[in-house]
Amino acid sequence: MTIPQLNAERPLTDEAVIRVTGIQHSYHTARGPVPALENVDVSAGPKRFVSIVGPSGCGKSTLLMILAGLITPTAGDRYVAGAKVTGPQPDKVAVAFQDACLLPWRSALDNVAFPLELRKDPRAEREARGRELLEKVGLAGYADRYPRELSGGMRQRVAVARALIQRPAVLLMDEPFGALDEQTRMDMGEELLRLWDEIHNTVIFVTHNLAEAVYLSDEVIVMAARPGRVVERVLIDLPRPRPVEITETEKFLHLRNRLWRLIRSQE
Amino acid sequence: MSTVDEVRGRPVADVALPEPERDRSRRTLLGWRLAVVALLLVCWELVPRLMSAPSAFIVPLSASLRAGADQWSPIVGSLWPTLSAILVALVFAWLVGIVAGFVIGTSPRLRFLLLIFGALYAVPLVVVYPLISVWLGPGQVSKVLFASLYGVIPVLLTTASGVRSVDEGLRRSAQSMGASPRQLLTKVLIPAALPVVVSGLRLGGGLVLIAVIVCEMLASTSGGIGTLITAYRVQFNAGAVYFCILVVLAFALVMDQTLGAIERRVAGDAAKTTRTQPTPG
Repeated sequence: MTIPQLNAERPLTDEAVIRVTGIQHSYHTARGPVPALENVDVSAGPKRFVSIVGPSGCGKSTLLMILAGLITPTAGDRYVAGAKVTGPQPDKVAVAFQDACLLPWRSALDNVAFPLELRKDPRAEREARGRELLEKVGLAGYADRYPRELSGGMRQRVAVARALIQRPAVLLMDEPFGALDEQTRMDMGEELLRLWDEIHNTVIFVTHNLAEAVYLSDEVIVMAARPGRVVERVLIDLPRPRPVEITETEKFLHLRNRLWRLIRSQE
Repeated sequence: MSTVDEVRGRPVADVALPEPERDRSRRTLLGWRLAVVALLLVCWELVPRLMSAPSAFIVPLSASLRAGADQWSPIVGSLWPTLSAILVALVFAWLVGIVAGFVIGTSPRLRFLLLIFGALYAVPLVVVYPLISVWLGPGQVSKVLFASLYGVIPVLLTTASGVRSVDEGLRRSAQSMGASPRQLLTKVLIPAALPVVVSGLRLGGGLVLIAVIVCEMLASTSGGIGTLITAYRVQFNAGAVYFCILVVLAFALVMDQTLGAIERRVAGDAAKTTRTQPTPG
């Protein structure tokens, strides 16, 4: 099995947990098909935090939906843990969406436990695991609250807890903090890293916020628009754990500016 | 701080008032409503007397009640034909409307039917009642059929739009968690569409009532309160006409209040939450 080597800074040596190759995707509109993604290869190794950045319209969210198995691409293959698959893989891949997508008629606990309910786990176990995860995201006291009684950031935490309850090998996040204000966004990023230190699975994180991408990731995939394609894969060799102050270091700013130039040069 | 900021800075929705306060405001509202009704009744009694209007046009409350008492047995005998027709037609309109609405709403290939039903909703369907009464006779069967037809359309349309308006994100996230098509329907689509569906049931219920009464008024042999109204009108028994109108109003009021209570119970909370969910950016 060969691993595609794009124009990455360093060859990818480790086996990918999730990988898509040769992805072509077009949307059908009244004026004919519009290409959204062209010949895209993306992979992420075990325990890697990979971000995807790019201008709006570069198809990064579409790519994530393809990685999640929620959109079938026009062409291309998808592998999860080495096996070629189509469709969602709830026991291996979990998704956190931009708007939390909580079921409004369910309490926070019942929302978090929903994936376990779908696979018919016993109630006692669902509740125990649900509470455990709510505690992990700092919402231990909010189990019985309904989504309308939670702030935007809290709803997003419930959504993350719900994704993690699936014990996914891969966590896909589609601009999960995009709708939050800057302060909450930074707090959530910091907390996500703390959580990830514990779980240490593979994360693919779509964002349009370059600082956020640098702060969180091991590597950043830069995409360009019309048609959506991968431009470059930038390694983020900042040490971990990363205190928030790291965002003020020269190295951080250098990486952020590099991403900025890469995106600008494609326009 | 401006009011706008105060409102925006309150992400935790305290839309609903605390329980005792809500009860109190509900009681005050009820008090006002009863006062308005009482005022109207007093006017009804006094205005015809003061105007000394001809008794064929406006009849005071007391005279209407007396006329109702005089005609007690035909009126009581007409209640059941009307009520039973309404109940049977309601069941048909709701069942058919909900099932068809779900099927049409979830299937992109059948969506075009919505246009047809939407257009039908604008047609005064009452024009087909004479046909139906010729085919099936003017009795209970044609009444029920017509009222079901009349009521099914809003139920179908609102159910379909309720199903279609379920947030795409809810659908996708459930699929990503491994929901089967059946789980998607029972655990996501149906509960999410419920508030809209119930509001459609209320609309359909109102139309069923109208349809039954109109049928009865149009066909003098079909029986029921509507037929009696027409009969009393022909006999210039204005007092009895007024009384029958009161009976129809009572029907409408009881039905609307019952459905409204169900709507609030089933839908109230869910409807509020769907609206406060953030919109995808």
